[in-house]
Amino acid sequence: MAQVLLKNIAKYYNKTKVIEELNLSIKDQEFVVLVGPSGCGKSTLLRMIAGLEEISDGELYIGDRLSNELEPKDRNIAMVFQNYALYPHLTVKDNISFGLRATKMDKQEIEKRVAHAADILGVTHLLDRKPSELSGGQSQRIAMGRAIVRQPEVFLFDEPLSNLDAKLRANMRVEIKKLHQRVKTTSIYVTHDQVEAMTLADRIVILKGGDIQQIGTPMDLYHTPANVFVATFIGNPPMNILNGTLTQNNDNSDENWCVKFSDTESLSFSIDKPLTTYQDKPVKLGVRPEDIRVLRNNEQPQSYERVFSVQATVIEPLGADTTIFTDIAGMEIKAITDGRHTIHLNDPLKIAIDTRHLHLFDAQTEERIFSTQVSVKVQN
Amino acid sequence: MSNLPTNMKAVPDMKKLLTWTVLCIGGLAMIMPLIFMFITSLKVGEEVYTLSFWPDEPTLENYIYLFENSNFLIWFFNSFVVAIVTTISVLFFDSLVGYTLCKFEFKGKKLVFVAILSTLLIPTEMLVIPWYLMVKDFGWLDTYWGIMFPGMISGFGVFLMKQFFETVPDDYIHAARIDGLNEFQIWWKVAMPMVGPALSALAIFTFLGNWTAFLWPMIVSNDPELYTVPVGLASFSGEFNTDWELIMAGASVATIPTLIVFILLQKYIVRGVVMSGLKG
Repeated sequence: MAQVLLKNIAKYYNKTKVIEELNLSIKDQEFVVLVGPSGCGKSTLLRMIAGLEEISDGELYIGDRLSNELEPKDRNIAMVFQNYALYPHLTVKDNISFGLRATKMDKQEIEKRVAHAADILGVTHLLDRKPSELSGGQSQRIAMGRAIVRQPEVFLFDEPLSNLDAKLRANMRVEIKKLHQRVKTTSIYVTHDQVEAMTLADRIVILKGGDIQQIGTPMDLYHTPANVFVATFIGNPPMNILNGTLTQNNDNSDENWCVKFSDTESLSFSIDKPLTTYQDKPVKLGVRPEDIRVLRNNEQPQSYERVFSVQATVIEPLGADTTIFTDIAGMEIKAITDGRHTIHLNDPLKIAIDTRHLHLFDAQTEERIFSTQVSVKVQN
Repeated sequence: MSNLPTNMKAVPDMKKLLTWTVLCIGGLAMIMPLIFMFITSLKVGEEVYTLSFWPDEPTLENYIYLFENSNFLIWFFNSFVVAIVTTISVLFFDSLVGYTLCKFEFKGKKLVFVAILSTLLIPTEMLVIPWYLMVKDFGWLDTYWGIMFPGMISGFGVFLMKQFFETVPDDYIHAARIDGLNEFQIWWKVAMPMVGPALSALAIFTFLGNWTAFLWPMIVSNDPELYTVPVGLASFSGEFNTDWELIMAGASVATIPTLIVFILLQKYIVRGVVMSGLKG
């Protein structure tokens, strides 16, 4: 097992920069997820680590070895591909042992490793089948088996679950997590699915346009997003972003600051940080949908909640929860409420925003000014 | 209302009938020369020149003469050697070049591909003279090598294989690279097994093309011991007399391998034609 270090890594295609000066340190045994929208450079980065793409500039260390010029086979890595890349003309057993046979390993050792991997993944009964006789989930397991038998220092996963249906994806997510907990191999996992990122990662690296937006634990990213992009990328439904102007209250109330959305609508809150640099300037206020509560009839808000009168424009019942779409000062917001709370379209509603969990972003740079949220540590 | 379904059903039936009629006429037109060839091979003497469907006294005399008194077996062997060797060569080189053009990036790749494709535009008749001059300079006249060399690699095959290799996802090649195979092994062990239908189609096209080749083998071989079947059969046609019955008997025997190849592998021929958009 090994750490992976990326120093000032860059990738150019002709003169187009895809990744520029990227620095990342991945610790031994760590599970790091690279996540971002299509074209953010996450797969390119993974392929550069694998040796399938040339590194235009910078240094890549796998373990202690500078690996820029090493052939993929010499990097001691194993990769699981999106389409599994199982050779259709070989049986499952031959697929799993393909890499080992290429290195002319002792036959008994190959048998032992294949049996062990098949046992871990529960695919022993499939060993004599051809890939065309396997289901999506089984193919996925075999692809992982092929990676496991090589006993690599680093596992690389390139969107391995994106070809599976939602239910199977959820199951395989758990399998991958269990596998990592068992073998503890350093893993780098690429996905565009933020749920996969949140559930699997020790740390998440969020990429956009080839730049790292934020690196942190899933909870760090969720509760203290570095910018509007991260705030809206992580979380489903995404964080509500409301444009307004930051003003200071002079009415001696506890709430010393206020974001004005319009002449009539504003939200006051208290914070003990100096925000004078942003006073009377445009800002973006972020509120997670779960921090907006739909009040039931005659229910009184808590002291830390601010109430707005709105109408539901769209209702998405999801069973346990219901997502309500509405708007404040013409800006669409989503709120999550208990699935048992019956709400009808265009009903007048009172929603209460929890001011203990607010995020304020610079309107220009979209960088975070502060989050009132206290991050919660979750032990994986 | 009850009449409607009947009427509606009648329309596709008429269409079907028309389709079948056209297909049957086409099929008959195609098979008639073969039937005529076979029937003529069973005739002797003046009857050869009559258009009777079945000979008065069908005989295998022509076949016996062909095998006992001519070099037909040698020609058959020559054709077999030429067709097999060129087919193996074409499969090897065309797939290697097609794979390289498909999966590797290098300077001048497009130019090379266009150059190879442009060879498809030049008819064989135009190439015969430069080929002949080359063969003469190399001292390959009246050798197997001389007969085979123009067909050892084909532009059509390169094109066909390149098209098929496009269907092999790059992930397989990347996976093999990580597994530690060198580029030649990746081509041979991973990519080639995945284009089996294309290889079959190309093998059929090449085998049949060389089995029936006439012009070039005739030009390059003067020694009757080196004739291929089509050239050998042509030698039955003299200035004053043509032994049609022997030619037809030889052609009938020569048709057998092609028929076997067609029957066994016809689905690959169709797929090869569909994939390449071309005819062999």
